[in-house]
Amino acid sequence: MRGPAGAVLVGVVVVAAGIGLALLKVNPYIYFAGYVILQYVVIATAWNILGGYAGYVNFGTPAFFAMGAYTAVLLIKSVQAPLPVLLLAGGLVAALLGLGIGYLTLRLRGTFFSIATLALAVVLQTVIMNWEYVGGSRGISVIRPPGPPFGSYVTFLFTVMVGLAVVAVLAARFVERSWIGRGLAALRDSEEAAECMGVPTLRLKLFATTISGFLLGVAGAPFPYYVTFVEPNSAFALEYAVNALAMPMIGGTTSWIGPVIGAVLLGTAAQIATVTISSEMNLFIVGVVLVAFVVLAPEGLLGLARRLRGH
Amino acid sequence: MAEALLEVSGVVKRFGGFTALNGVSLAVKPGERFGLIGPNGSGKTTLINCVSGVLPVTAGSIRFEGREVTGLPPHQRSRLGIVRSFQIPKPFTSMTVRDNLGISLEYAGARRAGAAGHADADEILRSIGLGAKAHLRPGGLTQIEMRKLELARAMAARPKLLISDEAMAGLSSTEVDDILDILFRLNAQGITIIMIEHIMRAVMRFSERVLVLDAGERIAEGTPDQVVRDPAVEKAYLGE
Amino acid sequence: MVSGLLLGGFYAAVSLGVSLIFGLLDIANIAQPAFLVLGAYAAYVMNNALGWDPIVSGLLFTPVFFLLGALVYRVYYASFERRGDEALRGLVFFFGLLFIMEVSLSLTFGVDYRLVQTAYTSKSYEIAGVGVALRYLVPCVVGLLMTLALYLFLGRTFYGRAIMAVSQDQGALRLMGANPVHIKTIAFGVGIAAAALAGALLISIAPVIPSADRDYIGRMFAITVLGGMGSIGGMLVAAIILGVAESLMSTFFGPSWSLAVSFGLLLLALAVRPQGLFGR
Repeated sequence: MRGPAGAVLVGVVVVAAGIGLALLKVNPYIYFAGYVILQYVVIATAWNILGGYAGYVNFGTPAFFAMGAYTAVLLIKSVQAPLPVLLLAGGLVAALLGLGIGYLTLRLRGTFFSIATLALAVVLQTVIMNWEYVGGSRGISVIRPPGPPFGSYVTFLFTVMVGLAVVAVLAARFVERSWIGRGLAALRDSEEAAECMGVPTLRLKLFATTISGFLLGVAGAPFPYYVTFVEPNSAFALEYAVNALAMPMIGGTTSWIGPVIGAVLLGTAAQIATVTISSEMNLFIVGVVLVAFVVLAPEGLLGLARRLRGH
Repeated sequence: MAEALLEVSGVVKRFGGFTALNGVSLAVKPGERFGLIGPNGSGKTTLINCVSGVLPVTAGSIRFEGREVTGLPPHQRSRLGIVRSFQIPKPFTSMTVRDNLGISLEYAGARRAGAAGHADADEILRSIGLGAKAHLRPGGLTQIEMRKLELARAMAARPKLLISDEAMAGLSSTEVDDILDILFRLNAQGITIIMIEHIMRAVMRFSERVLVLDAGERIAEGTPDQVVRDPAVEKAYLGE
Repeated sequence: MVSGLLLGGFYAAVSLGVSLIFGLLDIANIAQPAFLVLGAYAAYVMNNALGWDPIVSGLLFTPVFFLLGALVYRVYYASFERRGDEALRGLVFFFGLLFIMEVSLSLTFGVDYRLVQTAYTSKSYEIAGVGVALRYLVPCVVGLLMTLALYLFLGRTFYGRAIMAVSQDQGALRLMGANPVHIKTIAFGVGIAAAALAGALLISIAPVIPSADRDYIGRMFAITVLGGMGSIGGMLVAAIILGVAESLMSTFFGPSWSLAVSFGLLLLALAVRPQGLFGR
């Protein structure tokens, strides 16, 4: 397929299209819904770098996402930092979180890493709820800065998210096709054999956790400006945990395309569902779909397509 | 007197209250064909796990080419040249046969200083008879092909010391000869080989020296002829 | 301090299932806390509709949850264990179950707190000069009895010993004439039944909401790992340690930090655990 330069070119074109769409000023709901779906593209792609490529399942996606969001809240409230700084800082804090949890648990079996991430989300939420400066359990209001470079602030955020989605997908694609990606696949298939064939499994796992964490944090950083009122229950929402799993599972975990497919399909379905049925029912359905896929079609839609083509 | 390539000194391995290895020592010379045998549960695979780094030792030391490797993780040991195959094959199932070798080539094989260039994965596959299957996934291989893949993947790591862990278990007579051929050829290229096997005729034919383990201890060592005639060995195998 | 000990007894009941399923069978059933909450709601329904004491209905429901657990294991086995795929997909499967159960409870019961009225909800005794609330004492005692029962079951009965055997060597088990899958089904069923009964204890102590399962993930696994996987005695000690630690934390820093205690203990247990990925 195309080399990295070609991929970047496609990415630039997509971002340009995003800006074009933003300037077109279509139905504003498109931008709100689009932001959410693109956010999930980032989240699903980020999750998959560790979950799909390396085989280590992170159940604590809300922790990383919320870390990005609350780092942004902290910086907005204290120094009114500009958006690029928020993105970078949110990403870095979440990356450090990933590295920390990874360092503590990745030398053990993957199961322990997963359990730790599950407990992590709960604990981090407790910490935030006790931290008055960022709003505690009551939440905090965030005022959007004046004068976005173009359009309204929402359409601007929409384009930012287009850019972040492109960056995330390019990063995943790059990792997947590099020697790192091959090493991750080997350790996913058989960690013991990979290690004995020269693959530095711990280092690669830490790398994947850090990158994954970084991208999740970056996805969360614009969140305060998007919702303008940040409270723990929405930043740590259960949706993030289950969708981060379900989207790559549905799309297919072995390639960067899978999470994108899953995010677009499931994200769009969720947007439609939220206006027709209750959000809880929507969650229930997502859960059922997740279990159905993991039991019946663990390789996702990509896997099904591959099998149909006769591989 | 040639210096030992691999020197295992007094290795002890305990799992909680159970002692799997109780002070095992051995020395393998460069280019040697070394056999390791013993009844089931005698600690052969545990010893190999310690040598390759998969298990940390409770006590004792392991030296390779004169340097201490006891604390090193497996991936570093394989880069130094200690490579093992697995008793139950552990192929990388999501990749083609060729890519399986690609991992070893990329990570262990090429990185060592002085490694004689990049042996093509296809070359290795052809040399052991898997050439036609290079593009397949491991799922589509037969038993013996899987065993060959294990060996091929280990070969791609450019080993100085290759440890073959029961590569012939469950194979037919001709298949056993097939694998034996491959190992002889590898040894002729200068690779030191430790063979763990239950198939006696293979071990006896192949090994220059044999070490016998029982219940985590060395009970005999010598040429195949010597070992076969050792009463302690007979007792260990035939039991009470 | 006393309340910490009582809490510990209750936490022992909570963790029995995980000790069995994760500690002995090595199945990372992260849906366990959901079964705990499900058991709590079952007891609530019985109490609400018929006025039954939750512990009584909990005991009566035990066979139901045993069968549920057996069913869940069969699905897990057929989908994952048999294919050798258990690591990644099994975890996701259980997470999916956890998720579906929590959301189902939300849909059915809403997000308000539910509580029960029992004969002893507001009573308390004086023991050695310290006031002991019955609603803490009774679950603690039941928890200790459950622990003892499981300990005896594992040590003295055929199935119990078979479960211990299966956790160590499946080959030997086959030679014994027992089918490992059958044994594991029973073990899993017992584990789930234990969780549900612990749920009945839970609702005797405090009101519950569907998302209560999240509070118990850290606790269950921290206790199991800290106690030494599969050691019932160790689990009991760990449960008491956690109970006391949370109690102290609550007294000095406020109740909202209690979850941090279990998480901290979990990380500590993992760090201290001598068996890494390659050491067994």
